[in-house]
Amino acid sequence: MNTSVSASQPPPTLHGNYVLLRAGGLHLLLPQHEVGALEYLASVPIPADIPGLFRLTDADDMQDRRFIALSPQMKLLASFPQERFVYTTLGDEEHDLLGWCWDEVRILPELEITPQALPAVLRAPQTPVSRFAEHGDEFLFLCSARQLRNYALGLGETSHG
Amino acid sequence: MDEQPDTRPPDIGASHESSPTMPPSTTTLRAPVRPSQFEVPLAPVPAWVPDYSPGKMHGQVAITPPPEPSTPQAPVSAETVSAAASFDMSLPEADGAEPAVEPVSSSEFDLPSVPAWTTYRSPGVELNEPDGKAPAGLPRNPLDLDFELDLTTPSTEVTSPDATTQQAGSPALPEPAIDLPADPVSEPTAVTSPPEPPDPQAFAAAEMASETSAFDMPESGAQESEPAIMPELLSEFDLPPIPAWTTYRSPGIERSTDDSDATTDLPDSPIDLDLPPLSTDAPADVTAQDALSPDRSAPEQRSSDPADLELPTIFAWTASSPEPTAPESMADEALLPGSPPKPDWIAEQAAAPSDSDADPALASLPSLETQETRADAAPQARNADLPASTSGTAGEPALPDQAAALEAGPAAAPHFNSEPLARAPAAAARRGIARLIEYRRERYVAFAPHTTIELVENPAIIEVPGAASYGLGLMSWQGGWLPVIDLAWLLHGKPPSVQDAPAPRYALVLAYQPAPRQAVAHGAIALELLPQFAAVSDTQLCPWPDAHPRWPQLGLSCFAHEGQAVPILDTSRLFTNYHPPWATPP
Repeated sequence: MNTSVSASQPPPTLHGNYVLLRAGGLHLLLPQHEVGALEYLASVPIPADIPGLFRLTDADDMQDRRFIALSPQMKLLASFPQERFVYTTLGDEEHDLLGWCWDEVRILPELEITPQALPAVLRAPQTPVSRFAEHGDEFLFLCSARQLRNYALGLGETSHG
Repeated sequence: MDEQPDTRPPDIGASHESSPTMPPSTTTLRAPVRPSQFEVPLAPVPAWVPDYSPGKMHGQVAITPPPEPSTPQAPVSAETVSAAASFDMSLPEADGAEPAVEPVSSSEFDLPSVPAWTTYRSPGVELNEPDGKAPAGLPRNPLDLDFELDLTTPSTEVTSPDATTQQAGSPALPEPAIDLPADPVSEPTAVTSPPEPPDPQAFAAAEMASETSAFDMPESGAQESEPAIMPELLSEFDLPPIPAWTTYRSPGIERSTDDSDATTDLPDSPIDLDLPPLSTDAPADVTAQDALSPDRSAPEQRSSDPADLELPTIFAWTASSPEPTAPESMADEALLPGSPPKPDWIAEQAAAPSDSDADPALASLPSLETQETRADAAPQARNADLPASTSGTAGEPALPDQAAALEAGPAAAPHFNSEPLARAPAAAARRGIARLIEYRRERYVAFAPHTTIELVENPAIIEVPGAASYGLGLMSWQGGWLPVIDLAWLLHGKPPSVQDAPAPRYALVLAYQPAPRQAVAHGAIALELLPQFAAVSDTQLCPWPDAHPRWPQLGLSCFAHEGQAVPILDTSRLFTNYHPPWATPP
């Protein structure tokens, strides 16, 4: 297989439990233990006071939750897409109330995948993804929850691991 | 592990059921198992072995010719017996111990046993069939091309002695070998009289008149309907299998022109990107056909040193080029991959002494052997050491240190270019070919032709989230994924108004070497206009077009073309590393 990067060694094969998060044309593959609970959206969130954030009051505990909808460029959307109907947390306590909305969440247990490194010319210091892989007909970007959160929220540079 | 699409509901339920809070084993929902056809209680298959167990001697063994199947495990019930009886009724009336073969197979793959093969055969073979009729409902063999052959040779059926003999013979079953369809290619003289050999020139003229060019799709149906005549003549006019209308390849990658085995023919070695046979003294009026000399694709005549991949400056490149060529065009390149006779100017040059021998000034340019030695000694300066190394060998004048000039920044760039300009008149006759790219309106850069591999029209690019600002994404190419960058955004910054990366019209695949002795990798740049060729001579050397900090970082040299300074970019510097934005955009 032709690769755009140095092919001196075959890329390592990953094996484990992963979660596919899809937001429009964005397909992310995160380790399952970094993704929190999956919930439905009871209704469409409304824009919050901070641009890029949406809020929704939980009917059960009357708690105000904040939500985020990502663009294919992994940026915060200003308007909430109708296709987002589920949300997850990213497993951090600090931002536990922050829900990340997706079009699709799919568990891929015992996944065996061979990712390729992102070409160096495209890999900026802030790029949250460092590897990509093909899984069936889908093109997946591998990243961690911390990389995703830091890039989307502008919390700082991401480190490629 | 493969995903299990069957186990998840189509839409909402899938995501909800596969909650990440649950262990992976619980997320796998299994669809209700449908009773397959094998679980339906069917009649026992007759094993053709009589069952002589007590109580079963009165079975159908004694009634019907096929013995009753033995079912020692299950007791014989009324339902089983009735089913077995019905099965026996469907058996053919054959006396043998084995079931009769179906007379007509409904499968298209059972062609050897279907007499329909003889429907379109040549007459000599058709007579061997026992009945001469094809069963109705069978498809015609798509590979049988003898139908055209029958139309061209109607008299063969009468004059063939074998056919006459076999026609009057007994209706015995034909030999299996005769059942094979006649191959008009392998034995054309046995069935047809050989046609008149077509005149090659007339054949070529007819080909040209029919407007069948090299850009015809290989899967065109014209090849099937055409009888296989004179393959040895057709081979002289074999055109390269161009996989798509928009695919143009450079001459160094001829062996990967077939996309069917592109993944196996990928250049994985620096040797694959051979030094292009740039011209040294090619006249400007040489046609493109003359440029396609046989030496262009002769790998044994090229240097296999990876340092040859580099293009430090166009001047050193032309000095080290062992093979003279002439200006060319991509279209001619794809149309004429054969071996036309050498033009006269090549023979004249072979007979005449070289320019380096004749001109003392040109003799000062580094030779090919010297460059290889330097590349081995200092591979880290692979992009800058070849033309301007200061560590010249004894007796060779020292050239300006291009690496030092590159490190000095943009201010040193004019000095780097000015020194070769001093001896440019001595090399006025030398010419090179540059591939001109208009990356922005009336803004040009150039690449060495041997680094430009393929032009892809309307490339499908997958956007990489959070990638570099000049990066458009990844493009699938020959089984791999290439980074696609926008040169305008790289050189002048991405406009703030641009949110989504527009789909470029073309993507030019470029080859580069990430490091010395490493395999060749590929990247692509987005284009809106087709690349052009430009013949460049040493007299066109000029400083950088402006004080852009990118030019010393990415450029190798610069030449003046139609009143503009055109930098020659190094593909290795372009694709090997990330290019951070500069502080003050020019």
